[in-house]
Amino acid sequence: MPEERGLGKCAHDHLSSYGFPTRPAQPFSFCSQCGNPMIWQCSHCQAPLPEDGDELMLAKFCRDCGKSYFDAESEHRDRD
Amino acid sequence: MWLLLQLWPVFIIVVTSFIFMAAFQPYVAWLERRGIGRTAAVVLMMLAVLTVLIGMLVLVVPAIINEFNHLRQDLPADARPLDELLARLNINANLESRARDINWSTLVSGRAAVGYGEQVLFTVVSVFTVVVITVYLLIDARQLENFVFQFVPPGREPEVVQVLQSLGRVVGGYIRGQFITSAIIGLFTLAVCLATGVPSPVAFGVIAAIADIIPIAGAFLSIAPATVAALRESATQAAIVFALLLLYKQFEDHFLVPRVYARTLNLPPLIVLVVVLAGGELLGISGVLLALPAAAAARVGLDYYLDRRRALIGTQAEPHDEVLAPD
Repeated sequence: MPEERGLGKCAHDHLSSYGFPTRPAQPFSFCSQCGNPMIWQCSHCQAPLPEDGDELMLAKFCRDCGKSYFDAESEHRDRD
Repeated sequence: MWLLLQLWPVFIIVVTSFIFMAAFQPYVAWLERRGIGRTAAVVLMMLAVLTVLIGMLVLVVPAIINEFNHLRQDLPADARPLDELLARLNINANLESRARDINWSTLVSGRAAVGYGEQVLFTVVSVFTVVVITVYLLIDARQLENFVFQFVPPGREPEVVQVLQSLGRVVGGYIRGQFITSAIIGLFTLAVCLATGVPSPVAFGVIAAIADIIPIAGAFLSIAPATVAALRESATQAAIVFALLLLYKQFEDHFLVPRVYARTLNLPPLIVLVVVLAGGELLGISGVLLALPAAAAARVGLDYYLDRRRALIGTQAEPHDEVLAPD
């Protein structure tokens, strides 16, 4: 059974992880740098976030459902 | 740079220990899954390895001394047919009388003997140090991982895990694959020597297994000793031993190695040759032995660099070849 681990980010693009050595064992709720909520998967379709740090840093929208990872940004998105 | 040069022997010992750690780690994990504590699993593993190594020495050293004594006694007689052959070509080499005139007791000077003794002592101490460091690395593998991850920035963890796993799989896979091919050639040589009546068959099996570790020249070194020993019995026997071992080497190179290593290294033969020559030039025999695992590790680094580059320019990465040497 593989150990569970993953990458996450907050609305300010602060990256974090869990399940890796020296990192928290479980996903946590808030960013330790800015206090914003952390996401560990798409909050709309539960698709996993990109596993590459650079890609995750830039990602604003879910590549599976197309919705914004963070609701505030979703409202400002220009769909045209 | 100056410090690295000064500490070069220590650096080599530590690198070698890391390579063995990568090779033994899956077996220690396997023992742990069966309820044995980590320290006990590591000690069991290293005891097994040391038993095999000491057993090999016990078998090989008396056989080498025996062969050397035979060589001393039989060299003039063995030189006679060669003299006759050369005489037919109008070459008067007098090999037989020259062989008789060799003063074996002065062949190795006292200073050279002390030099060899120092080398043997250095090798024994180095092997012992590698064993001790490997034991520590295996026992403290998790602490070591924690230490490395302290320096990994957030978001880079999956890449570091992937690179470490690839290093363990490729370098460890190379060493485990080498154990497999060495064991098989050792058993085959033993069987050939037993079947053809070559003296000291176990020793020649062990010599072939050890020689198989050496890249390129190992092919010759694994065949020659048993063939020379068979030549002492008869030319026909020697021809049979030579042909069978040569056939086996072809089987190993073209069938066994691709299946055991898969494309662990996936390096062109020319690169392998250059890497081995460079290793030999830099570090002698230990450089030759470390050249291919080092090349395997370098390939992991190159794959990582190419993946990052592809990610930057947005092209799809080719799937990497997996190691088939068993974990």
